Amino acid sequence: MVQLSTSDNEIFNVDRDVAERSVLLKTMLDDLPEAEENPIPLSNVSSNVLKKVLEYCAHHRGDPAPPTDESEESRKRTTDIGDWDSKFINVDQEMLFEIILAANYLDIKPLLDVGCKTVANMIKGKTPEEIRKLFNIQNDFTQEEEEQIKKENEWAEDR
Amino acid sequence: MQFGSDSKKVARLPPSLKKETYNMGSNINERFPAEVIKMILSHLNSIEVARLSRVCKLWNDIAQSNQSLWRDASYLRTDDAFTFRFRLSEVVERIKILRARSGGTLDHLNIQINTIASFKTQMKLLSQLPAMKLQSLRLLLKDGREWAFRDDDSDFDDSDSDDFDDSDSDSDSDDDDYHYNMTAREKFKSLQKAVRAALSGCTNLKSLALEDYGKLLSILDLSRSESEFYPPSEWELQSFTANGFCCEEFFGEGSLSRCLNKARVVKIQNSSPMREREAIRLIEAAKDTMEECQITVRKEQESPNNITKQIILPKLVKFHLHLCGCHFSEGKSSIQAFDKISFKWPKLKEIVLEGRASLKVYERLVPTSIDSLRFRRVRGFRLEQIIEFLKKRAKLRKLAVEHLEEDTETLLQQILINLWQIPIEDLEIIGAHGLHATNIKDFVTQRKENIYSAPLERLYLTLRSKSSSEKPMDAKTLQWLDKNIPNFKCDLILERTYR
Repeated sequence: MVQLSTSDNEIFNVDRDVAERSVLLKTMLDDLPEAEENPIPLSNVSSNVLKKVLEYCAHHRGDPAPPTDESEESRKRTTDIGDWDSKFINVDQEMLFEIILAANYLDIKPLLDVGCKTVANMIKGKTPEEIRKLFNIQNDFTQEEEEQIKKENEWAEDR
Repeated sequence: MQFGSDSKKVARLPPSLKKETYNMGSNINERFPAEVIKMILSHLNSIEVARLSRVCKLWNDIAQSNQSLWRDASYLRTDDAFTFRFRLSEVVERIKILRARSGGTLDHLNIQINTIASFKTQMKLLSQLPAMKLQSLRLLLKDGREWAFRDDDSDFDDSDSDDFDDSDSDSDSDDDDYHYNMTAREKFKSLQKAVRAALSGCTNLKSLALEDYGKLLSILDLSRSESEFYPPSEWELQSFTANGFCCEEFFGEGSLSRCLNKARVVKIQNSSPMREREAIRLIEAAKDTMEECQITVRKEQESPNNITKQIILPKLVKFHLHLCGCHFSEGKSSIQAFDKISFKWPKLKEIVLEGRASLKVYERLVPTSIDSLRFRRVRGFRLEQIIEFLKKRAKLRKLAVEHLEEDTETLLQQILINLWQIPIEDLEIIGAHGLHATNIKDFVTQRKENIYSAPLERLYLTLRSKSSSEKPMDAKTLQWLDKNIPNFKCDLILERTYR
C-alpha cells in the first residue's frame, strides 16, 4: 500500500501495483524504500484529477508494460481509442487537460497517449482559426508571416 | 470509488505545506509543455500537421523541427477504390514536399499505379520507394483506360516530370514519345517489374496491401510472372492484404510463403484464388504467428502428394476459407488437400465458410466448440444437414447465414425447433427472402419463453421483397422487435436491386 498526497492535501491509499502504472512513482518506490511509509507529495495534481488518474491505473493494473521509446517515432498514427478508455476520457476540456498534465508529470505513457489522441480527434478537420478559438491560442504571426506560411502549406488545403 | 483496494482519505496535511495551485489559464500553449503538443500532433497525419502549422508560431516551430511528424502519407489516396483525391502529379509533388520535411523517409504510403498516367513518372516514383524506408505500403493497380484520369491529359504527356527531381529530364523527351506509343500491356509489364523491384528494396516493410479490383493483371494477361520473387531477408511482414490480386502468379510459386513467415494477419480476398497446395504452403509458413487468416482457394488440377497431415496454429483466432470453383459430385468434394489435413487451432473463435464443398470438409474444419460461425453462399447442403451440423456446435453464440439456397423461413423455423439448446445470442440473416414479420415475432417470443435458450441480443436481417408493393415488415412488428431485442436491425432490400 502506498500513500499519495495531492495539491489540496488529500491523501489516497493505493495498491502498489496500481501506483506503479506511473513510472515516476515506480522509480521513487524502487529507489526510496521509506517512500512506502510516508505520503508521497504530488504537488501538481489535485484530488479530483488524481481520483480520475487512479481509476485509469486500477483498470489497467494488469496490462503488459508499454513498448519502449524506440518504437515511439515509428508508431502508426492512429486516433483509435479502446471502448473503456473512450468512456473514461469523455470529460470536459478542463479535466481532459488536467489528466494529460498529470499523466505527463506522473509519466503514465498509455494514459498520456489516450489524452493526446482525444485532443488530436478534437483538432482533426478544423481550420487554424477554429483551433485557435477552441484552445484559446493567440495568432502571433505577422501578416507577412501568415501569408508566407499559408503559401508553404497550400498543398495541404482541402480542395 | 475504489482504486485497487481501500482509498478513503486518511489524513490531511497542515495548510503550511500546501503548494501553489497549478496555472489554470485555458490557453493550451501556456498549460502544456511543447513536448505534449508535439505528442498531440504526432497522432495526426502530415496533411493535418501542415494545416496546424498555421495556428501559431509555437505550433509551426514544433512542426518544422520534428521530422517524424511528416512521415504519414497514407491519406494520399482515399480508401475507396473508385475515387481519388489526388492526381499523380499532385501525389508526386506532395511526396517531394513531405520528404524534404521528414528527412527523406516516410512511414506510410498509399499510391496507385495505372496504365494511362505518366509512365515515366510512375516508374520513377516506384524506384524511389526503397529510399523512403516505408513501414506500410498500399498499392492499387488500376486500368486507367476505363475511368481513371479520363479528363487529365496533363499527366498523359509527362508535363509534370520537370518538377520531379529530374536532373536529365530534357534528354528524356524522345523516350517520352516512345512510352506514349507503348501499349497498355507493355507499359504495365514494365510497371509490374518495377513494383517487384521496389518491394525488394523496401526492407523495413511491416504491412503490405496489394489491390487490383479491376483484375488488371488477368485482363492484360500478365498474371504469370517470369521469375520467382525473393523477399529481402530483412522483411518481417506482419500484415499482408490482397484484394482481387493474383498473388500466386504475381510473386511466383512458393514466394508468398517466404514473405509471410512472421505474419499475424493474412487476408487474401475477392477471387484471387490460389491453388490448394500454395494455400497450404502459406498457412504452414505463417502457422506460428498468424492470428487472422482469410484465403481463397481453387481446386488443384492433380492430387497433391506429400501433404502435411496436421497443421497446428496456436495463435489463430479468425479463419475465413473461400473455396472457389470446387465442384462436387456424389457427395464428394473435388478439393483434395483440405480434405486430408486436420487443423489444430486452440484459440479459434470465429470461422467463415464460403463456397461449395462437401459437408465432410466443413465438418472437420469447424471445431465443435466454435463461438462464431458464418456461412456465406455455401452450396450443396440440404437444410437438414445444416441443422444437424449446427446441433453439434453447442457453444455457438453468433450465427450468420448469407444467401443460402434454402428458403430462410424454413431455416428459421428449423433453428427454432431444433436449436433451443444452442445459446445463440447474435443472429444475422442476409437475403432473408420469404421471411415474414410473424415468423420473426414467433421466433423471438418462443425463444424468450424457452428457459433453456439464451435471449437474443442482436438480430440483423436484410429482407428481399418480392415486389416493391409488398411490405414484409409492418410498423407494429418493427416496434415490437425494437422493444424486445436490444440490438435489432432490419434492412429492406427491394428485389429489383438484385440481379
